[in-house]
Amino acid sequence: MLSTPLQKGRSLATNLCASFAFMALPTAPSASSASLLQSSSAGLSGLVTGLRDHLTAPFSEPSLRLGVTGLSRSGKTVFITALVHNILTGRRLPLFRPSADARILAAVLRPQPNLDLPRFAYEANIDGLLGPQPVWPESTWRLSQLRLAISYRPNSLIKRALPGPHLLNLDLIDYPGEWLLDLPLLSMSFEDWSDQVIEAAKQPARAALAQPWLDALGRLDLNAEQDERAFIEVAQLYSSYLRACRAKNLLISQLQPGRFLMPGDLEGSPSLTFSPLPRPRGNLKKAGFFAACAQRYEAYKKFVVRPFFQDHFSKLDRQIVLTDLLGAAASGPEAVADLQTAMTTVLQAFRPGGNSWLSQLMRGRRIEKILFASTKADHLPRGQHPRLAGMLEELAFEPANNARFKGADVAFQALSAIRSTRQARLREAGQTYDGLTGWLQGHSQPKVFYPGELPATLAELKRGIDSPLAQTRFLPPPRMDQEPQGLPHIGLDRALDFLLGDLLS
Amino acid sequence: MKPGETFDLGDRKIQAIEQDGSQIWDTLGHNVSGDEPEAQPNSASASASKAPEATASEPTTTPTASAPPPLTGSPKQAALAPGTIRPAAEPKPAANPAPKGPNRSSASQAALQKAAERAQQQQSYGWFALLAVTLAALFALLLIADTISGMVWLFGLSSALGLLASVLLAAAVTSLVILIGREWRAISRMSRQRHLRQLCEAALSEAGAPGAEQAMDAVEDAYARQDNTAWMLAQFRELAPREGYNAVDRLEVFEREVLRKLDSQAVDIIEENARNTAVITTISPFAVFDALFTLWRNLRMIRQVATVYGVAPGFWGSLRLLRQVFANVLLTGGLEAADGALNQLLGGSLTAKLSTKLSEGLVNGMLSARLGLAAMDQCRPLPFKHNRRPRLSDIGARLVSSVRKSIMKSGNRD
Repeated sequence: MLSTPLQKGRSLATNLCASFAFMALPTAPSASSASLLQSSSAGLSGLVTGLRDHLTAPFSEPSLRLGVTGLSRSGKTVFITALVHNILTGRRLPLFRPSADARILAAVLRPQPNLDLPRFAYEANIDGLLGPQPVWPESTWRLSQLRLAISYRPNSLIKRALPGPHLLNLDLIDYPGEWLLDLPLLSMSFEDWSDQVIEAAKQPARAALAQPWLDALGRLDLNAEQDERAFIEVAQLYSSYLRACRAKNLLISQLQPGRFLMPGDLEGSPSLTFSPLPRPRGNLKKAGFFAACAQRYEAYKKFVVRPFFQDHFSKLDRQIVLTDLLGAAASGPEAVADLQTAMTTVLQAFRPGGNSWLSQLMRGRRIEKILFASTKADHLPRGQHPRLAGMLEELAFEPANNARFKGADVAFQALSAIRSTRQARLREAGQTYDGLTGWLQGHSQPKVFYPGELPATLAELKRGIDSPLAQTRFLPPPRMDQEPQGLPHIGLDRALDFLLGDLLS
Repeated sequence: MKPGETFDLGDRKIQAIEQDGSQIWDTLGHNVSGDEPEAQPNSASASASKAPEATASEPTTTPTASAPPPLTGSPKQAALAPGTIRPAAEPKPAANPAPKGPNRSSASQAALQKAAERAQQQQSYGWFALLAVTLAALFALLLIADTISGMVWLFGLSSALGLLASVLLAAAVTSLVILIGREWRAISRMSRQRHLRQLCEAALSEAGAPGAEQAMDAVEDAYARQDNTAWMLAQFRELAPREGYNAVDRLEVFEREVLRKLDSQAVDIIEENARNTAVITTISPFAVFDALFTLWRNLRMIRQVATVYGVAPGFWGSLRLLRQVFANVLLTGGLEAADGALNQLLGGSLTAKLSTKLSEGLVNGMLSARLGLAAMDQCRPLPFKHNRRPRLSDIGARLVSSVRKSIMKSGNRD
């Protein structure tokens, strides 16, 4: 065998590195998917890349990978579009220090580092938002990337004394939020996962939706060999069950596999044609349907989930986690708890912690700053934004606490990357109330809303709120680019200041 | 969305009114509870537009999401939900509720206590007060009588002289009245500013306090009215509109955008004054002249600094401000200031070569700079939070070099 010595050397190095990683990382051996990712990425190549990156860092332009994390419909695409537009057009954002102090000289879009990825459709998105009939960007169905290069005047005297233009390359990645939820699969066997999914499907809230799929499973002999048609039928029934759940905002933390909802380029491939199955009675046959599905499940994990996270999420420097807390609260008591579960599971995949040069070498880059943002703040009057942020803080206590413990900076805020409403005061019988006006589909005039008030505590919010407003889809307001301060937003500048401010100083 | 346009809110019509930048919607025609529409200033247009819309509505929520019920069902918020009955006026407590037994006794006790204190004060100050008041009254009476008799005498001499005298008298009285009015206004402005500062400090001390909104409104209102800051405020409103920023954030932007400009103006004034004081003290031959000049310059500086922040104190106002500033210096670190100033001066090798006169001048300059910084602290509507507080050492360093330069220049000229 020609490759044996090479393989040996590699595996030796991997072992060495693994032991390094354990020395440096005496974390609790939680069977989280994170450790799986780490062990596979912290190979010799990882160390070499880390060393090379570190040694060349002073001579190359610094770049920052900003992870925009969020389930589907949480506003990732709009956030990236608004961020890029505000920086590209040089708008002054008063709470984003580099921008407020006019230290950002210019910004341009550059060719992205990963040439094999589609480019983020910034131009199409912004044209849609600023067009005569503004529309929100279409929902994301595949990975895309964008690099924004920012040239700035440093604040610190030492940096200013260094020659050359001061640049920061900001790499942004957009992807379907559905894919994020695949993460827990990495640490689950096919049997465990199937049990969990089928258990959840039998709950009263979802039983009706799951019935056609469960019936089809009942008709099949799981230990017998089946032809491809059976695979396709079951997979289709299962994915339509997932779709129905998503439409009703039920059980969003367990809508796996994510590619069943948003297949991307892999539609129709065998690794996307399987379904969770109940354990067959009797001995498991190797050639049976169950075993075949289990095999495809493993293939899905190996060829779809792991590369996605390894290539795009293991190298993040900063992260913003977008959460639609209002939407979850409006769709019922279960949804908030479910959102909490989803957020906790997803964030287990990321490795927070400070980045010193030594730790970077030893264990790869870590996420130094995490911003938890509660999106759609524009669906509430501004007086209630602090309360919304406070509730998110309570909801995300566990992952945030974990990140803080490992040395990352954590912040919470209410956010609306593009503000689609205006504040209004409603007066009746001498009393005034906070209201909103916003544009709806099919109306030539903005409509006035009374959004009511958020409950005072998270416990009350978890019981659900009874407001159609939280699920109302406002249109982007017309002629946004003519507003004096640029695209209207809520808290975008504060978010940018937290995420990028220190790097541009 | 223009003021005056009407919108549907469930079964009612509401009307937009523009009020300092934010729109207000008035509910107009709602006959849910069969009430008269409220007598609003826009009721004329209301009656025109309300007729077709204001039909009696069923008590269920309308299917459109136009006015959702409140997220939580507190009765006060339910008032605006469509179809619900408009709340009766909040039950107000009776105009003069009879205080209950223990309350009354405690109230009367407090009154008694106060009366006793007053009596005690009267005992100690009573005769002095009486003396002062009677003397002042006597003096005023004499003055008036003297003026009248003088006028009569002048009219007796010649009616032209009498007329001239009465014109002069009228002019004097008018200017006196105007001066008093101005002082009065300045003093009230100062107390307003103090109130503003208190509001802002309270708002910033606890996060998410409801006071922040009120404080921001008050600050905006005060600074939009002044000529020197109106343009800054317009800029600020454009940069951080109410729509997108909550009050605490807007206070932050206000400090960074508007107050930063005002701060640098104030520091310029302070530096200039410190330099002048230092130079004059160095070259003046008489100590008395020094003291008078320094006092005058410092008063003037404090007044200018106050004017930058929109306080514009009158004469009495500046004296009062001076007193506050002195108190501030004494309380918060007059010692530190003097220390810092001396260190600044004695630490350098420059001091060795300086004459006593020059070092005296520099100390004087530093002290008035310190006074100016304290005045800044007093007059600023917000405490220093996001902007760097200008330090005495910064001003001191520039002071030494500029004084040396100006003395060298005058030396060369000789």
